[in-house]
Amino acid sequence: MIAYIRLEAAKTVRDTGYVVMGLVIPVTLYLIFSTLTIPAEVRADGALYSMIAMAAYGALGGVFSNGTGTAEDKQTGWLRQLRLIPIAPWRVPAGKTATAAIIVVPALALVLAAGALVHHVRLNPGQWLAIAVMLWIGTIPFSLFALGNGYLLTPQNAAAANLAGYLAMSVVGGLWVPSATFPGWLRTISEWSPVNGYANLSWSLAFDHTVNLRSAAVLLAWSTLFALYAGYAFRRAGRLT
Amino acid sequence: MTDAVTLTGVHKSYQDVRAVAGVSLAIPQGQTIALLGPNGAGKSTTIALMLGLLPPDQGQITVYGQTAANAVRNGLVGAMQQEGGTPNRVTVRELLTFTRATYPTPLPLPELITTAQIGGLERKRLERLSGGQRQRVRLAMALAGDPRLLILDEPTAALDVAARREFWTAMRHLAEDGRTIVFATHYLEEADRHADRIVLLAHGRVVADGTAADLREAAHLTPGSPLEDAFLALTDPEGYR
Repeated sequence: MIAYIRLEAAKTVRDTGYVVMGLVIPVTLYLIFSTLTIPAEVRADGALYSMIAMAAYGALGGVFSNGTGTAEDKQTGWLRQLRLIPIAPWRVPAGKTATAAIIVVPALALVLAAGALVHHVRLNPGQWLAIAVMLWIGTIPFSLFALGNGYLLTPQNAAAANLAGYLAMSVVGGLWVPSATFPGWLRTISEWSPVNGYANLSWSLAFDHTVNLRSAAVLLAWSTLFALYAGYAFRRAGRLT
Repeated sequence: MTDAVTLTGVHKSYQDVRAVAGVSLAIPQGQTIALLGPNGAGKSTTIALMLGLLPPDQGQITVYGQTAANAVRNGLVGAMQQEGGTPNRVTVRELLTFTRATYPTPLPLPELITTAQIGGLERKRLERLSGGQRQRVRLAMALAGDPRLLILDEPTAALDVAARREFWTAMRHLAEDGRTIVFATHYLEEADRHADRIVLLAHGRVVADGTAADLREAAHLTPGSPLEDAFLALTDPEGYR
């Protein structure tokens, strides 16, 4: 299993999609947004808010590119090859999910480090730890959703669906523009959306020092849905590859 | 003598196409057997059934007394797909290291590299190899676990003349060590020269089973006449006349 995860992780970190979506774009956007667009009087809060937003954005970029890579594995025949060697079928999606959990670490670390070093974001050690863990664990449902698309769709369609899903969920979730500035109807949608649940857990920890149970419940509900979807997609792919 | 593979009254259809229509076959341990037949005869489906990639609609398949999927999972089988099967963005060494790690008693890496003739390619990424090089890596994946049974679907399709000759030399050594080799091919000469036994399929059925001489006799041809004539006479009697 470790050998499989090692191979898949090597394969993913060499993927240009991962490097751009997971590493380059989020930290670049963070430095641009937080330096140019935040008024001086709220700069500290803004730097903290957008640090979490862009760390989430980068982590999601990583897991979505991992999901898209799975569609490529189907096309190259790699998924079929895995069925011809002694590896239990459940280990393949489990290994891909574990791979996603590994490759999001650099994506998160990069933006959090930029926040701490460039914008001197100050949090107590417990908060740093809780936020990092929350941002990390919270990627699992999105990882499952992206893998589901990868298993179910052709490479072109999976790439399109994952990019569209990634951008739409990120915008609606308030990663680009805070949902507090949304019109009322969109704010309501945002509050029920998975990415808002995910990011808001960390925003609450950072600003209110609390675990937001409502956001946790929203994310958990979406997690169940995404896990069912991924399970369905994997079983279906097993019949077709 | 124990049988490596048995098929008993196996049927498999895709929607309205009957790919395999009642195949019974016993392959003793140590035999090298060629599956011949025109396109659409059911060769690839028969191979997929022997590998447990597809469940039969009817009939039974055993590989060393187990279900085909279990035999694969227990590392008794090495397989080469007709095409594809190599992932992108990993090196030959990484791929083989992983594949070996999944088997209980893998072939040592240097021996594997020599047998599959892939010396010098270890550090190259799969997507940068030529068709013939990738074909040899695919063979290496099949051999990695040092399996008792090798199932190869058109193993020499992308190889040039010299590589093909080297391939068969390697196969002969593997067969001499007591391995069972099942291969599908369109090259009649390969079947004639390298197989102990030829199974000729047409329209999902076994139309002839024996040595090349047996096939000529079944087609009422004189000994020494081209195997091609026997092939055409047996697989398409109408067209042949």
